[in-house]
Amino acid sequence: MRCGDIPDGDSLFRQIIHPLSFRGARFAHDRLLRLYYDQADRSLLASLTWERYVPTTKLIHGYGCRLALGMNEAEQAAGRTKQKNRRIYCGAYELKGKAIRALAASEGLHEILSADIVHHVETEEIAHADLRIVLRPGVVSDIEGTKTAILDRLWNACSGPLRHICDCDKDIPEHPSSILSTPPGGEYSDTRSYFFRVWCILRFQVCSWLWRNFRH
Amino acid sequence: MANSFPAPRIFTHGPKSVVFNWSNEVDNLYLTISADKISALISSPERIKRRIDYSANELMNPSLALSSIRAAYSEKPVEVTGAVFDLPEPELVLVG
Repeated sequence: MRCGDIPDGDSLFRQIIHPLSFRGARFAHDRLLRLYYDQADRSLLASLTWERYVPTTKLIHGYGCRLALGMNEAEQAAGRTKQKNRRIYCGAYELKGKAIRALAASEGLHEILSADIVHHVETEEIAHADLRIVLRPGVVSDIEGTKTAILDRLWNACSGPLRHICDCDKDIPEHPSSILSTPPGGEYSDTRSYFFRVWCILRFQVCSWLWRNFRH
Repeated sequence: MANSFPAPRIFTHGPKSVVFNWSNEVDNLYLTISADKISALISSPERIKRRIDYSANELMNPSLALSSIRAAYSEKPVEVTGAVFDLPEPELVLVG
């Protein structure tokens, strides 16, 4: 289900899950995103959430807590119940739509034909969006090197983290949210005016009500 | 072995490659090593400064490749002396 284009000025968020985005006791910024390469259409894909459907910090973190909960339920269903398998939501990083689309014009990333974010409701989550980077045919000599370059650019373009501890994780003595790193872009700051924020919340309420009632 | 670089951090994108990362103030050097290629990336927060890809054939003489990457990163002229290169030995870290 697509519900409109994502403007350049809108924020996208990436929810961070422990241990998937960590290496040992350290946050690994190369695991900010997991880029899946679809060789058939030469594209790299990843998941983000669109600010339009998570217009408040509480909603951003609500998405993250549900994401971790879903992963934990899947782990338990597969019989993996050890503590090391527990998925813990730690917070989110912000990227602007403009920064993602700018990848296609980045110096040194000539193999990128286009980079875009598309609203794509997934697993009943209205805020889900696909990051899709299409590569030029016959140009990519080393897809792993391309992934490194893309992750380097995105890490430098993001801001945050917005740290969070879900209610179900309050029993964890040393919560991993405390070890999230601040990217070169600095801390996240919500620059929306008060009235615009109110408008965003009202719009979200209307859109999500319409989606819940008329999606089928 | 001369060691003018700090130990690298080690990344992966999955089972097909390993990435060694050195930071020098705000600049970063990444060496992405896959089955038959090495890709070097030198970047600053603002831009990608340089990318160099080496195929398996070009890595028959790794000292030449690594010396040229090191020279690009430190912005010094390439000096190749036999088979010696002084990038530090990376830490061995098991990655899941």
